[in-house]
Amino acid sequence: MSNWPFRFVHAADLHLEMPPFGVSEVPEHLAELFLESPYRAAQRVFETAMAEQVDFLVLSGDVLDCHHTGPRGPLFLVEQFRRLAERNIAVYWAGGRVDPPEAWPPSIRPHGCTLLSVDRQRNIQATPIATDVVRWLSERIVVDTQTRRDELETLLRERMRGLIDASPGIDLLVSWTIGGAGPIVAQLRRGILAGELLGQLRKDYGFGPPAAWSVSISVEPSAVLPPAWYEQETIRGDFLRHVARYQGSPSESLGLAAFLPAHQAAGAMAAAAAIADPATRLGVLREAAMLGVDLLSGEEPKS
Amino acid sequence: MKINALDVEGFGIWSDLKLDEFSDGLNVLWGPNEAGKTTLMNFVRSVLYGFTSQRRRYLPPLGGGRPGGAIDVSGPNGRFRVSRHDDDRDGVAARAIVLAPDGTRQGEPLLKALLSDVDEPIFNNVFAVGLREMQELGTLGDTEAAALLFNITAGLDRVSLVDTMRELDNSRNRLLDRDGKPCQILQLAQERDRLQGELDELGSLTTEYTRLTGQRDSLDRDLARLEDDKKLSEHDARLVEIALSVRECFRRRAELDRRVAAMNLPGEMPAGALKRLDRIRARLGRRRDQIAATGRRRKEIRVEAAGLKVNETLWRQSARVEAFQEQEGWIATLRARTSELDGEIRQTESQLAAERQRLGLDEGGSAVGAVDFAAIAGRNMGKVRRAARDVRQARQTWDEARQQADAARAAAEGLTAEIETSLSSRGEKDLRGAIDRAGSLVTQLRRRAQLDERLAQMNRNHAELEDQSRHLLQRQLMPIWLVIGLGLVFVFGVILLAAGLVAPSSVTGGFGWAMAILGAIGAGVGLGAKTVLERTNARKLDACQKQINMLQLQLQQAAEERDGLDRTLGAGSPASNRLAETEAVLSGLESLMPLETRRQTARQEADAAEARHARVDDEFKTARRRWREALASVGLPENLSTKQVRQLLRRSDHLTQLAGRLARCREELEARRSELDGLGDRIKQLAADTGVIAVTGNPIELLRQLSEAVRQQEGLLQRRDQLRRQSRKLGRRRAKLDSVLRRLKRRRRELLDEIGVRSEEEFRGRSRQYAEAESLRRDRQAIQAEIDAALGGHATEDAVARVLADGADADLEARWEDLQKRAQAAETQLRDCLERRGQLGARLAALAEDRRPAVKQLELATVEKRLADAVRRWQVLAVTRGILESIKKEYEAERQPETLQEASGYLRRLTNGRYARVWTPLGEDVLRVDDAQGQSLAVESLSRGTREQLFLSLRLALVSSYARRGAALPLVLDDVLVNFDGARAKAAAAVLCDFARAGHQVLVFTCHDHIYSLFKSLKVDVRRLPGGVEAVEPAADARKSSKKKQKRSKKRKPVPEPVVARDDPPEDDEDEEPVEVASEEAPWEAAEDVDADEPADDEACDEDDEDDEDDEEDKEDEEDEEDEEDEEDDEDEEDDFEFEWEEEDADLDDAEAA
Repeated sequence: MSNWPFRFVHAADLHLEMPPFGVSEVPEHLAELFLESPYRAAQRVFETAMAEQVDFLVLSGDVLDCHHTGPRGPLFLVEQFRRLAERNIAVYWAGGRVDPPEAWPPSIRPHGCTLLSVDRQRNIQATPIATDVVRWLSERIVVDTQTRRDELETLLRERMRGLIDASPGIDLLVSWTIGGAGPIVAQLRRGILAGELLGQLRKDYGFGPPAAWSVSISVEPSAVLPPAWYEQETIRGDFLRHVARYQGSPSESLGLAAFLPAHQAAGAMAAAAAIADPATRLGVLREAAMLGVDLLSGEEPKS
Repeated sequence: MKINALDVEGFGIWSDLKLDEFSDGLNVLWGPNEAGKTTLMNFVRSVLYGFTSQRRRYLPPLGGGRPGGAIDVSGPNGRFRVSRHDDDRDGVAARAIVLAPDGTRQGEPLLKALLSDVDEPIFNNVFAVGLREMQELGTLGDTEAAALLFNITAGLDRVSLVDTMRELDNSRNRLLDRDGKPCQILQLAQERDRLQGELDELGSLTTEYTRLTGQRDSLDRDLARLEDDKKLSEHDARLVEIALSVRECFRRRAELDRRVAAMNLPGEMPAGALKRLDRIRARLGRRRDQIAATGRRRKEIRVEAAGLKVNETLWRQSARVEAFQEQEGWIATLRARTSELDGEIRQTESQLAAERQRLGLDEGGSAVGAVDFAAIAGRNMGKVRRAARDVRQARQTWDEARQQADAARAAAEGLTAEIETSLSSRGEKDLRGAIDRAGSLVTQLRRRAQLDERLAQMNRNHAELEDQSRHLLQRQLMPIWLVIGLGLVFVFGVILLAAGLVAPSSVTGGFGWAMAILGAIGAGVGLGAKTVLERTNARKLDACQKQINMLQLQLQQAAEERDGLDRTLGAGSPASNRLAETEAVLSGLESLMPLETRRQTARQEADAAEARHARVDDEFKTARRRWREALASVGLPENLSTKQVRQLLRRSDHLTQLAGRLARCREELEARRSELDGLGDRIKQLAADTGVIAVTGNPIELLRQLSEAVRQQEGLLQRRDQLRRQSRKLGRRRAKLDSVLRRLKRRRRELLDEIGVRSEEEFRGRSRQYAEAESLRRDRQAIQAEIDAALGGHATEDAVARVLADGADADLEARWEDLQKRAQAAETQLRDCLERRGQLGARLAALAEDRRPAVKQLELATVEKRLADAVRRWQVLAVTRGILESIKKEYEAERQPETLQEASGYLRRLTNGRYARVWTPLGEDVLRVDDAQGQSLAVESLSRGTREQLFLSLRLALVSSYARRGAALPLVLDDVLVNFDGARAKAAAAVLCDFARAGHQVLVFTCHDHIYSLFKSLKVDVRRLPGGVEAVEPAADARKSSKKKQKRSKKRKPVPEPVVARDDPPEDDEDEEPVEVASEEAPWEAAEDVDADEPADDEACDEDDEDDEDDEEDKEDEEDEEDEEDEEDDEDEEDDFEFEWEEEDADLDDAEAA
């Protein structure tokens, strides 16, 4: 190295072949964005390198999977490298194994690069630079027994506006989780209210530009149901006692195989019926508890 | 928990309503429609479970009062009072307050415990049965009805277990169908697989791309090569082509060169010599023309100048004309002035004439006209004035006098006439005499009247006196009593005297002298009185007599006078009438007297006026004479009136003025006129001198004319000068042109010498030659250009020359064709190559742009997400379903059997044994009913009525089941028996009684008389809610304590209290049974007695059996009624009712029953 300090940009996991996933349905006006986002985000990385006039660029793995990008991917990279070359910025590309994307939780999608500056004393200064084009966000909103629908709406909107202001120019994909307890939670769980709120958020913020698309509104399963309910001499009480029993004995089979169609017994659904993963089992039991409570509580109890 | 009492403070139409002493068993509340049953039911719910928005509709209460109320309940731990109000008076808003038996106030948790954790949904599903549910059951189809009935047994609290399970199954099957029908998960999985496959296929895109790039590169190389070939061929071909085309030109060029060389001209002509020559020639020509023009112009000028005629004389006189012009204004003024003066003169003259006319002087003729006003003005007119004044005054006086005289005379005559008229009307001639006569007549008549009166008066007096004398006469004789009295006095007095004098002192005492004196006095008095009295009387009588005599004399006199008067007056009407008449006449005549007086006066005045008039007349004449003298002295004609003279005098100044003015005007006019004429003459003279013909006589116009003429002259003179100047200029120009001409000629000479020719013709010939040579050269140039163009830079001349030299012409052409073919071939090849190259490029671009992998990837991701979600959802649903399945199995194993067993019992009783058992086959989710013969029937095949009975049985069993598990709450039935016919209703009522007796509190609300009667006949605790129905007998349970109540009943017989919704203490409560419920004494006596002494409700019911005989008739009667009324099944919505406590009256009951 002849220049001290030298500066370089480090980025990885560009995964040009992977459009954003984890959305069960892509809204039309965002389809284009989704398809282009890996390339655009990658471009921003390269442009950062050029703008910062770094000495070189390090790509440490999983940049793209040629088979899944088509010729487009390599051509794009070639073009970018050419531009970098014009500016005398070298590129060091460490090959990586392209991980199956299913294992990647959406929140750890690449959305930035790091500008590192190393000086003669080997002091490293790292500056993260956001280059993402589409950003995933998970937001949690807590309500209580007094929260009314309009209050919840206001909370959602305020949070959404905050998110948009915090990430100017970037399209957002937001999944909402509502936690807490109260009549509003029960209502949300039924689905209609959640659907309405979701529709409202999408209508108001989902089109941008920039677009802040609300992917889903889900209700956190209550951590705790009123203990009294477990003691009641009602069907609901019986139900909860069963659930508690299952929760208490993780090895006990839930007997889901009985519900499988015959030809699927050994198929992919078998795994689903078995629920090997304890976390999944707990999650399923919790959701089942909530569902049962919803179904068996009859009219809205004044809780 | 059992309800003991309701205390409605304010809810719906109820305010301050207290219902006490609910039975622990069956309570029937009967009220007509709109009586408020539903309100009560909602009240109960409100207190127990709170004021929902739906129940808040009953608030605020219509009758006022605190919204809410309290319910007294009793549980295993004692009695509690649950109150709930919809205000914040207690500080808990709308929450419940539970008053524990120990007096503490607790809240919701205790209430929950009392309710055994039965919340409202469970309560509604289990403990409340209404007509609506029965009707819903009736509307369901067979299978649905069967399912509903089954569900009751399979698990029912807030929701039906079976329904819930079915819902879950549906959702679950939609996701993953157990029977393999299309479902979401499978579809998603297929989708995913498909996308994955497509994605894999698309993986080959990159290799494709690489391959294609290789192809492209080789194509590029081929292209380059072909390109070169083509160029080469083309180049050669072109060269030959050019050579062919240029061949002819070469030849021609050579020819031209030869000809030029042959001409052998010595050299060049000086450039432009010919041109210069021509130019000079042209200029010469121009100049010559100019000179000619100049000459012509000068001639013209001269002619024109000669034509100008100037009037010298006028011009010389121009100053004068100007001077006159200056005076133009003055002339105009003069003219104006003269006309003004004319006008003034005329005006003045007319004024004078007018004055004269006004003065009237013109009338008389010239004599007046000859008056010399001026002369008069100076004279002393004083005398005249005075005289005039005198005359005037005299005239005035004369007139006045005249008038007065006339007036006076007229007055006098008028009055005279008046008087005479009046007199003649009365027939009199002389006023005074008439008056005298009338007066005397009046006097006489009056006198007469007076006399009459007097006579009458005197007669009266006379009579009176006569009376009086008689009286006195009578009084001469003294009344007897007086005499006797006086006599006695006298006698007594004498006695006393004698006694006094004579009697010894022993008898009289010491009063002897007094007595004597007294007696003397007495005697004296008696005597004296008598004498006096007698004398007085006699005197009076005398006097009277005298009066009478006098009177008589007078009478006589008066009578005589009267007679005399009568004679004078003569006979006629009575005096009084005549008197009135005469008096009237007299007054009339007397009224004329003033007139007479006035007449006299008037006549005197008239005379006086006449005299004055004559006097004045003389004075007047004198004045007039003096006037005439005065006029004469002044010199005026005498016959002028004063008025005229006065006017004359007044106006004399004015007239003088006018005359003066007139004269002045005339003078001035003269002067001005002469001046004007003078000026006019001078102007005319001038005009004549200067030879200007006068167009008009008006001097001003003439003057103008002159000045105009002068201006003209001026103009002419100016013109002449101008022309002279022009001429001179032209002369100068001419000189210049001459010089130029000379110069040009000189130059020409020089040029010719330069070229070496002697003359112009030579010159021209030489130049022609040169031109020819030039043209030849140009041609050559053109050809050269052609050649160059043909070459076009593609080849050099040398190359072409070489080619041409190479072969003969024919060869050349052949070669050319050959070369062309070659080029074309190369071209075609090149095109093909390019096309292939283009396609390849497009393909590569398409591949480069191909986003299908990304698209597929995205789709795949979404599908996978959906699949994962669906799987998760399926798991949850399955788990839930599994758990519910277990629960259901438990229920079937444990609870359902006993429920069905119990229900069977009720069913048997309800159907009077027709259906004996309800059960469920193992493993099937249906109910079956066995009839009395043991035949098993499906629920679908039961009749509607039977289903209702089954429904009721199951519900009862369910309640029972809950109670067994510790959740015992009152069962509320809202008119559920309405669809039952008589027998069924009776059976149902009996079952309910038994049910209640088993320890379940039941509250039955109904609005039907027959049901009410039915229950009443079963000795059930019925209450009537007021609503306008006549009194119905209370239940006969009161008989138990009838003895105790008998006295009271009697008292209460007459009037049931209406609308007692408050705690009025009953008339006598002393010996009422102790009431367990709150301290207030209810005016109502419970049919069942809830005190410790009396037997419990069930036993009360039992004791009813004793009275069955009596009731048998009642029941049969009621049955008949019920049969008729069976089909009424309107849903009652009672909104308000007034609660009326019904009094137990055992006697009444007996009486009715008998």
